[in-house]
Amino acid sequence: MNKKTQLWKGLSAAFALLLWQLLAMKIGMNILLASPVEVLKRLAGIWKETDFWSAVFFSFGRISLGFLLAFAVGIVLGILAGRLKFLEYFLFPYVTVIKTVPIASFIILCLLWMNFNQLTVLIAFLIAFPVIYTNVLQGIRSTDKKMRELAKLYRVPWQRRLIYMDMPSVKPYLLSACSVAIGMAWKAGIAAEVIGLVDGSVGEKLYQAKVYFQNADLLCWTILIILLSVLSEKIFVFLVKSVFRGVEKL
Amino acid sequence: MNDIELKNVSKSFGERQVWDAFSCTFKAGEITCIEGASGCGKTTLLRLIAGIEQPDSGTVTGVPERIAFVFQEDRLCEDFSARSNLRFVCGSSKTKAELSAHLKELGLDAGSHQPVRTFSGGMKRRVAIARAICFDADCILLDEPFQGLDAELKQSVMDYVLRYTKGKTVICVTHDHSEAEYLGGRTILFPPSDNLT
Repeated sequence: MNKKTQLWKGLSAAFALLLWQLLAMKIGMNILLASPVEVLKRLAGIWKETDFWSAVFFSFGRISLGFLLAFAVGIVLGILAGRLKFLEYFLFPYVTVIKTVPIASFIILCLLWMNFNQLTVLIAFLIAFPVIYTNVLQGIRSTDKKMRELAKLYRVPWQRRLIYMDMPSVKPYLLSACSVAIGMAWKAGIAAEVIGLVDGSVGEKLYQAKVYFQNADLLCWTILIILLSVLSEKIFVFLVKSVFRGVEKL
Repeated sequence: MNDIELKNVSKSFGERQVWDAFSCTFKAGEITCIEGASGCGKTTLLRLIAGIEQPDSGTVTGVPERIAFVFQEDRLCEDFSARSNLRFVCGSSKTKAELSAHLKELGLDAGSHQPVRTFSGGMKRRVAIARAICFDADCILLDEPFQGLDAELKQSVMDYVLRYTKGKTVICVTHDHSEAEYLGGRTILFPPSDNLT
């Protein structure tokens, strides 16, 4: 990003904040819309509260676990389905159902079936899995046919094909899938916590802010969720890229 | 090791007939060069021998189990280093030092971790040739392997190929008569006027 682009983006963000401040001043009711200054003040103090870190770690841990499970299962099934056409057909109805059923329906169904504490993990998994699986499958399918021909001729075993042929093909797909899926896992995971009123979670904090008309708290937690989502995305994508770099140096 | 024999092989792609009841024998352990104009079926012949294409009729026999093929395109793992590209086909059958020695012989930087996508056309070609040689195949099929190499480099690469293919069946397709002469062995001109033994 060059300096000019950075400047324009910075000015746009400053304008958006100004607009928010003016809107809050116009409405003049904190319970409807807190101003950015109030949210900033709240942000400066919220982390000192006793249950702040426990809520953050609770939600972060569960959403990350759900995403990591989706990442692992999505990669394994994506690779296998890329090789075995019948597996792709076999998985098709399940993946389609997970992709198309509204996440709220899943949350309510899960609330009937399981422990509330596990809800976030399962919902994060369900939202991230199809994204990872579909992209890995697409990546495997995009492997150069001529390279496949060569590997067959030289009798290259599947482990080496995986490292030298499939991983480079999957890499761009997987990286973009991770960026998308982590954000989605956070959105859906927090929604599940709000609907399921999961004890000690960030979602519960959001719900309490709504119940007690604490608009500054609501926006403060929203900003924290965005920051956590972006941070986990950056860290995870960096780790995945490092793994690929390591493999390429084999 | 047996001779590779093609008997009454016919092959067509859609309407276009490439081979019609073609027979030919390639002596085991010898170099055979195939010369001819574009589109006369030279590459198809190599692909039939490699088992990549199946003949419409006729038989291909005597093909050894381990075949190496230098295709017209380099077909490299572009994100990996030159040595990794050799490792791709060799696995652990060759040591790091052995692979590096092959690359050095061809004037490539064996210690480099640079991915081959950053290589020039000539460098990529040499990696593709080294890969075929390192595979330790009984039969090596070369489809215009020295394309894109300058005269001096071409000679050293041909020397390298000759050094490592002694006693192996080599079938080399080329446009360039001087390459066929340098490699020695038998030369077949395509399209053949008659069946060859």
